[in-house]
This record gives sequence, structure tokens and C-alpha cells, in this order.
Amino acid sequence: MDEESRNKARAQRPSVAFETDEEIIRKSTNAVNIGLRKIREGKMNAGGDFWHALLCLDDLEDPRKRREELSLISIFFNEWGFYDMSLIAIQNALELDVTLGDHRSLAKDMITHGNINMNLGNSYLAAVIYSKAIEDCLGNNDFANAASASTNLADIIAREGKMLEAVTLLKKSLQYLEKAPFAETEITTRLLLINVLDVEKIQPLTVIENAEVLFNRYADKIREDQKRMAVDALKSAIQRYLRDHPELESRSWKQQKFPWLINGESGDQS
Amino acid sequence: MTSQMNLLLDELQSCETKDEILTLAMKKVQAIIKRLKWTEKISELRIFLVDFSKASTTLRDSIYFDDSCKALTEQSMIIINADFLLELEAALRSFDLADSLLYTQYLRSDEHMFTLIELIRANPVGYLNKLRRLAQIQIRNEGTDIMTELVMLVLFFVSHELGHLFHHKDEKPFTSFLKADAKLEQKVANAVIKLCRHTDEFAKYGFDLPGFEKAIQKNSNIRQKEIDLRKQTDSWRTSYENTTVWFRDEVAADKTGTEILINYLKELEKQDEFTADLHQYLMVKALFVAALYSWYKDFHTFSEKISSYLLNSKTLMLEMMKHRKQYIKVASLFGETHRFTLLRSILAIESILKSRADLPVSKDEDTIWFKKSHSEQGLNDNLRKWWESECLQRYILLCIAIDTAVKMAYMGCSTGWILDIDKIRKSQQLFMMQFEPINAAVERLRRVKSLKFGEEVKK
Repeated sequence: MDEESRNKARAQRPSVAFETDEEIIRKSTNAVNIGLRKIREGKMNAGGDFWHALLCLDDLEDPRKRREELSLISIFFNEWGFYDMSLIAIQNALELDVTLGDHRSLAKDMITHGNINMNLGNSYLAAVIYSKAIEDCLGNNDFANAASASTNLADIIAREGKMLEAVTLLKKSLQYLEKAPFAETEITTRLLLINVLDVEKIQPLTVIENAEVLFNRYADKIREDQKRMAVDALKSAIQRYLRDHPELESRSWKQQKFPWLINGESGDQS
Repeated sequence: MTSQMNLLLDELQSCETKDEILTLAMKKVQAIIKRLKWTEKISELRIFLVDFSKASTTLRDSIYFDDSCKALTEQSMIIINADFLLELEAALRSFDLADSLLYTQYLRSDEHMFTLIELIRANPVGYLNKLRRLAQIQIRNEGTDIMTELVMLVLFFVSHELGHLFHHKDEKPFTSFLKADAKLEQKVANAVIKLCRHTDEFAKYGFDLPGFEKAIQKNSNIRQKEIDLRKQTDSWRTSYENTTVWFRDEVAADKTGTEILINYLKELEKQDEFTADLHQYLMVKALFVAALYSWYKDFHTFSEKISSYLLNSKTLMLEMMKHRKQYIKVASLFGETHRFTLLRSILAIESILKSRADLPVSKDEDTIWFKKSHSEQGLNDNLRKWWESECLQRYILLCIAIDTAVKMAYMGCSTGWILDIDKIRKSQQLFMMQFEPINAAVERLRRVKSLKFGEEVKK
């Protein structure tokens, strides 16, 4: 909805004129909570409450607050599988980003837009959105979001079987993250890189280096299933690396690099 | 023609919709009809797409009004209610948000389907406008042309009505939704007679209910009871024969309608197989959404009417257990003059797919699951296979999702006899029928490996 039609719609609802932005946000949050309670209690109609929560936000006076709330609610809808509402919310947020000239938020919202499309199985469109997001982010020196978009794009490309292209993108993500560290994206990126390289059985040293960083820096932040995948890939990479480097003494090299692997306690490197 | 009729006709013309998208879709449909030479078969054919929201009460009460669409043979006229199409366009656009069937959010649960129905019902045009606006950011690649999909849907409705005009049978609407203010069926005889006819139709096409075979055996106690009920009812001839005659007329119109769609695809095929495949895919997509949405819309209304809260499959099971009369009320879900909507759509899709039996997946492949590839190499071949596999998945899902309606019809048909048994026994026995939510139907679809028409579905 553009500003003009939004104001017109607002004018037609006189009761709203008495509500402050804080009250409107509270009303919207309440509606979300009612919907969530219904889902947890196995009742129907949660979608109606979510929709009401979204419509409330149209009445927010301050465009920055409106943008922020729309962006948040879009992520929430996406997580709960209400993709239609999520798209409607993110479209409004994206338009406000442009109007407000808020490049950082625009990049973040573009990534959300890409993520919704990933959940809808629209990988082609998601790839287009992530590519545009990378370009925009780099233009604005927003390296954290560039890394996030680049990693998401690599994920799509890897699923298409284009592993080498995916590796290039993931390595770029890590370069961006050096300029703007962001733990969550770094973990996802390194795990994906390890996975892709393991599937292709290439670049064992890169697998080893990334596993080292993951287990040294983020051991407590990695899920068990991710840890298992990384350990399996690491073992395979070590085997290949040592085969390529017969000059190394296998046991002492492993003992030095990954003592916990030698002890057979996968993932428990402390 | 009387002056009153002339006035009504003038008003009808003045009420033609101004909606640009629907008008464009209708223009394209009229061009197709002309190309297929149907304007020559039916002289002075006129098609009106009417916005009845601005119509006078006189027009709304006249023969020109309908909730969906209808044919008037004497005047060689087809009238389509624009609101009916706007609502379905909203459903098409909603389903179209996901590229592939299995990613459709509305198939995650009955709740998601009901949410969609409520959002559209609360403000059809407002919600549709939001969806239309989404097209600005949901720029999609091949096979997601919503306008062509809408054209295929309108062509389906118009083709059915052309069937009526061709067979000189008129004034029965394309479909009749269960209205929120309508009374549900209360008379056992009406319900049993109607639902036994539907049961026969389901059985004819292989939709049976294990344990209820007697509902379709002419000499069974269940069907003897149905015949007794016909005799006990003053108007049994009218009720029974009307249903039979209406079914016959509608079947003939459906058949002609489907033939028109098939001819359209064959015409396209002569010029370009790729385009024909794309249009077939969009046609099946549109029929699938219209059928599933219409069924859930009626189901939602029915659920609200028999219970104080919206039902899911579990609570529906409990609600239907409460009293035998619930299965009498069920008759209202089955419309007035047609075979069941889901069944009609299944048969139409089946005819369309069978008519193009040389399609690669049906012919050569042993799977209905194709992954879409975006690589340049073999892109067209991959797309054609993917479109066809998506068509087959939709067809199978409708065949699975019809389960609830089939159970209701068989039970309703048997209820006359069951009530007699209750009387003899002097007590009721609890009868529990489980109903399947849409996500369970999708799970069953996932287990299907391949489909060859004329063979059993491979699981």
C-alpha cells in the first residue's frame, strides 16, 4: 500500500486516530500471541489472528517503526509457515526501505524475501534475490549481510549440483565476514563449505582449516547433527590430506591438530 | 422479448465488470472460442462477465443472476458472476506463490486451507489486490503465468456452459456453494435419495468405501430402504428423477466442456508442443485449485453450521458421531444439480491428461517425481517433464482428497437403513468415521511412485 492510500484508509477508521504507535504495536503483538496460543492448544483460526496483527501495523504513524515491525512480523510468519502473509509484510517493508533510503534494512529485508521464497520452493527466484542483495550490500559496504546472502545463494547453487561455484561463493562469504564478523553466518558458511568439499572430495586442507576454526571457536554453538557431519567430513579430509603428504607422520600430526579425534571423542575437543 | 426483459438486458450490459484483469482474461477466452469455431456452432453467442454488486434488486432476482455462471439457451447467453471469478483468482494467486505443489503452504494442514478461505471471504477484493500487488516482487520464471492460468479457468467454465447451449439445456448454475444462511438438509428421504445418487457416481469411477459395498448394491437393504423412501415421499418422482435428469444434463455439458479444452490443446499442439504442454499444465493447476478451494469453502461453511467452532479432522469425527442426523445434513454439501465438484474436476483432469497420452512422463517414466532444473542444457525437455509430473501429482492428490466426501456420501446413503436398525435395536450404536486432513492426503501422495492411466497406482 502506498503512503497516500494508507493515509486514506487510516482516515476512514476514526477510532485508530486515538491510538499511539506503542498501543498499535501492543495490539499487534497481542494478536500474534493469541494466534500462537491457539496453535499450541491445537485450535483453529490462528491465521486470522496473525492477519489481524499484520493489518494493525498499517496504522503505525512512524514509517521507521512500521518498517521495523513489518520486517519482524514477516520473519515470524515465515518461521510459522504463513508465507502469504510473510510476503505481504516484506513487500511493504521493502517499499518503506526504499522510501526511507535505509540501505542496511533493505538488504536485510531482501534476504528475508529470499528466505521466504526458499521455503516456498522458489529457489530460482530466491537466487535472483540473493544475487541482487549481494550486489547492493557490497555497494553499501554492508559486509555482514553480503556474507549472509552469499552463503544462502551458495546453498541453492550447491543443491543444483554446481559445487565449485558454491565453493567460490562460500569463500567470498568468509572474506566478507572478516570485515564484519557475524558468528551465526560464519558457522553456517563453514559448515556448508565443509559439506560441499566433502561431497566433491576436494581441497582437504580447506576442510581441515574450516573444521579447526569451527571446533576451536564455536564448539558450543554447533548442533549435534552438524557436529557429526563436520567430524565425518574432517576424518575423510584428513585421510586424503595425509595420503597426499606422505612426508607427515600421521599420528603425531593428528595428535597435534585434533587430539580429541585421536581419543575417539568426536566433537568433544575440550 | 418483453420491455422488462430489454431493460434487464440493458442493465446487465451496463453492469459488465470494469476489472481490467478479468476483462482481459475474458477477451482472451472469447478469442479462443472464436478460433475453435464455437461462435459458428452457436449463433449470436453472448458472454457477459457481470459485477452484480452494482445491480438492482430486480436484476439480482431475475433469471440473469447467478452466484457462479450459467447458460440461457433461448438467448444464446452465458453469464458469469465477476465476484465468483475474483474469489477464484485470489485462490489461484495464493496457490501460485509456491512453484511446486508440495511446497504449497495451504497443503500443510486444514487450518491453512481454512485460513485462506477466511482471508478471502473477509474482503475478497482487498485480499486479491494485495496478492495482485505481490506480482511486483514475486517475479517468476517459466510456467507461472497467472493470466494464462486464469484464462484456462475461465475457458473451463465457459466451455461447460457452451455444452449446455449446445445441448439446449439451460439455467442450472455451474456450481452451487453452500450458503452461510442456508438451512441444512433435515429430511431423511431427501438426503438418502440424493446421497445414494452421489454414491453411485463415486462408485462408477472407482471411489469406493471398504465395508460399505452394500450401499452400491441394488438389492441390498440399504438400497431397498432408499427405494422405500422414494415411495413414501409425495414428490419422490420429482426428487429422484430430477436428480437423474440434472446429472445427465450436467454430465453432457461437462463432457462437451472437456472436449473443448482438449481441442484447444490439440490446436496448440499442432503449432508448438511446448506451448501445448505449458497450457495443459496451467489448465490442470487452475482446475485443481478451483476444485480444492470450492470443496474447502463448502466444508468450512458446513463446519460452522453444525458446530459452534471450526472443525478439523479430529473434531469433525467427534461431531459426526454425535447424532445420525449429521449425515442427513451432509446432503447440503453436495449441491443441487451436479455431480460432486471434486469428482467433476478429477474427471476433467483425467480426460485432459489421457487425451495427450504421448506425454513423456505418463508414457515412459516410472516416477511422477521430477526435479526442475535451471541449467540451460535440456531445459525445455526437463520443464515439460516437470509440468507433466506436477499435473499427475495434482490429479492424484484430488483423488486422495475426495476421501471425506466419499465417506460422507456412502454414510448418508446408508443412513435411512441405519435409522431403521436403530429403531429395531431400540438404541443407537456409536459409529466412528475417521476423516483425513489435507496434510495426511499429501503424505499419501508422497508414497505414490508412478501412475499409468488404466493401471493401478504404484505405491
